[in-house]
Amino acid sequence: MRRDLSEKSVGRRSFLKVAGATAGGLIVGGVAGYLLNPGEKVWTTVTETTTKTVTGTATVSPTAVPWEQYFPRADRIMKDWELKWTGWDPTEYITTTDWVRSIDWGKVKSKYAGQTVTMACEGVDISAPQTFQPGFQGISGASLQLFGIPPETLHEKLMAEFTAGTGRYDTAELFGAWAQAYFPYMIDIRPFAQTYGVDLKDIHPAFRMMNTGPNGELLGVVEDADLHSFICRKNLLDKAGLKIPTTWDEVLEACEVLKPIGAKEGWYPWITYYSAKGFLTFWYWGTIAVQFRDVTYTRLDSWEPNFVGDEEGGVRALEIHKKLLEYSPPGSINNTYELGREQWLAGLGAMATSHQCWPRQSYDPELSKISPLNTDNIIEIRPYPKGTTNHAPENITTTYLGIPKTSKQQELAFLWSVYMNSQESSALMGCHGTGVESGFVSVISNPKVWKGQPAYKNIWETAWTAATETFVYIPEAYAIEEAAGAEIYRYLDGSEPSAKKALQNAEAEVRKILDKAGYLKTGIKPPPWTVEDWCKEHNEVNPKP
Amino acid sequence: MRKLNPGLLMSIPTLLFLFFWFFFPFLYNIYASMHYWTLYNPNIQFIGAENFIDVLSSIDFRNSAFASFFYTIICFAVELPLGLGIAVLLSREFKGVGIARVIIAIPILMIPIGTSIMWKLLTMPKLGLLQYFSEVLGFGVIDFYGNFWLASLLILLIDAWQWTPFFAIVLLAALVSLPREPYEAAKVDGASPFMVFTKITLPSIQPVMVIVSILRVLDLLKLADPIFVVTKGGSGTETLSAYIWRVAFKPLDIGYGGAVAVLYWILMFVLANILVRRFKSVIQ
Repeated sequence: MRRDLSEKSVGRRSFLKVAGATAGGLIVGGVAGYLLNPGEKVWTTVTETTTKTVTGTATVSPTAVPWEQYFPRADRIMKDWELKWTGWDPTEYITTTDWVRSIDWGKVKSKYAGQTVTMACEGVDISAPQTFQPGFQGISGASLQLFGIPPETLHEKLMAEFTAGTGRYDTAELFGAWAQAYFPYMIDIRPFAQTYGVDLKDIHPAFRMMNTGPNGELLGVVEDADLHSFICRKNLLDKAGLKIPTTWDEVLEACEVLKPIGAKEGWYPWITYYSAKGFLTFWYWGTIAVQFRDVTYTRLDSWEPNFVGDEEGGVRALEIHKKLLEYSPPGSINNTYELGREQWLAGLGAMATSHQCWPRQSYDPELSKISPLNTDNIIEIRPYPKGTTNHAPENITTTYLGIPKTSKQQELAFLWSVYMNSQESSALMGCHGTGVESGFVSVISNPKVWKGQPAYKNIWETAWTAATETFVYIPEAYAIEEAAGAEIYRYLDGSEPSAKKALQNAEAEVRKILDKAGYLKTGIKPPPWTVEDWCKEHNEVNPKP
Repeated sequence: MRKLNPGLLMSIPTLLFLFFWFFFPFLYNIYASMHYWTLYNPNIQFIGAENFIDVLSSIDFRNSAFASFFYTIICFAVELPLGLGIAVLLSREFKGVGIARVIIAIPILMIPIGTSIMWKLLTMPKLGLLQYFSEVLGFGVIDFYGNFWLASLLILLIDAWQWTPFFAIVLLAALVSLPREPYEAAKVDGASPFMVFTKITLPSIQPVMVIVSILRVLDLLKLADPIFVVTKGGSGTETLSAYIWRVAFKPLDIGYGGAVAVLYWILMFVLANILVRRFKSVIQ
């Protein structure tokens, strides 16, 4: 039966009465609820798979200040299984020093409450800033807007914004490898660091050297400090009677033994981290090549690229790169980071080299099919395989949080940068498996942190031998990597049968770019390439285990 | 006082739009292509035709031009007949034809990059559904990303899945609007269904078929989305659009990138003219 609505018409007055009472009730209830339990919903744990609210009431407060509830701390960030796994007292700080705990946030709040700061970051890692967003908003009273941008287009998006001077972002996550392209648009953060007593020298030189300008200017706080390690599923190696390889020759021998076993059991001996045509090819080859050559790797003392190597170490590295692809899942020649990661976490491989993220994420039962927490797998993290020399792989993918000159909130942006990237924050990000890793000496050398991010032990032990990418100091770095990578790729896809010729072609391409940009004519001295040399030039101590 | 032509007056907004959004950027791009010009470097140098010489001597440019034409040809060769077949099928009256017509249009509504990702997930080694069936049927794991021919097959599948319905829908519209009289006359004369199709249907929808084909060919020459997703331009699959993106937007080299774009435009302009001239009589 159709109901006649006019029979029971609602008058304006009665409607307003009901609506007003409902709204009033909700407001009163909401305020009462908040007052009765003000500590709740400050911290929101955001991961790739879960979103939950954690009570942030502190039971241990090393600094008795009203804003302590907003300090980064394990119980406010970590998941239950992570706290259980690490065995930490969840209400204690895991780092000994944290600059967030030494800043007078009361003053900050009185200055910036109600204001807004914006940040551009890699979309794939947005869970990291999201994790700290509520805490920063609470402690500063300011509002933070995050813009996640796909990593493969972040560089050009930012450069377009910077060159156009839009001032859209107050702070932005910048790729260390292409740092020089950003330099003209960024401020030096040292004056702010001095004002707030932020000790930037606690960041390991391996990760700091890429965003330090020729005159020592610092163009951002290190956000994601990456170095490669070797990881393997030890149980698979044990079953095949293999010991964990330490050199590239041993890696290839192990791959050969594992290949028929993996074929039967549905996995591959190797997972290729990334290899796709262009700069990713260049990076993957480069990290191997470093192990086969001395510091003349790129021979830019006269702006003369030397990829082949004096003893053809570059050629050997490229041959290994190609061989690894044969032991990887089909199509790995075009692998990007994301695809490689999915393959590794899905249990498709026995061994790989990767940044700190894969080893840590391997443990996460929600992300990984090979988690030792609920399977028989044993994850081992070891130093990057050696060649003829012993360098930690190039530090190419570190990112840092820079502040553009066009930012209208430079100081607030700085405060957000150091809040998100403090010692405790970065340790928690690493231990929380966000893929964003700490670069602080006080964090990566801390055995307590190793319980939550086992890869840091290896990073601490090898970072002092790291090298950085020489081209990072010129704005043409990206163009060089892309052009050289495209030439090197030809050997991998078979269109150039000779590894040496492919590398020589890459050298020619790079020479062309350097010539066009005027480097071959200027005689400018290229900066140091290894952490050791960089520390010498900057009168700094290279932290060693 | 001389009166302004109202037609001209009313065209001014459009002309201004065309000038600022098409002609000016086009001329600016030609200007950029003759300079060494990267966005992060304030020193812009005039280098004449050097960028063009570099582009023409680049193996990647030649390979990507080949890939563009290759994919245009194979995709078009598959999509047109398949689309026509579907259109003929859907032009008949049968139970559920309305729903079928709606379903066939769904792929066009999807974002191209999303479609490509969907297919990539289906074909991931050991993880994708298609790979699962391939292994169950004894074909093993298929290298859809690293092998040029298989990667091309996947790119063809992605494009055909998404754009065959475009042919189908446009040709379906043409088919259902055809007059019935010629068909009735043919039936009276005892013509076979094949004869009716080749002698009446095809010639009747030829103008629509030509227009939709030209549009599709020009669109296929710009193919880029599946390339980015499936191979990132590797294994010989990089098309001209993907190449321009790689050399222009990543290194922010608008000089070199501009030169590739100019050559690309010339290629497209010549091809479009050939196609339009060749089929001018049919269209008119």
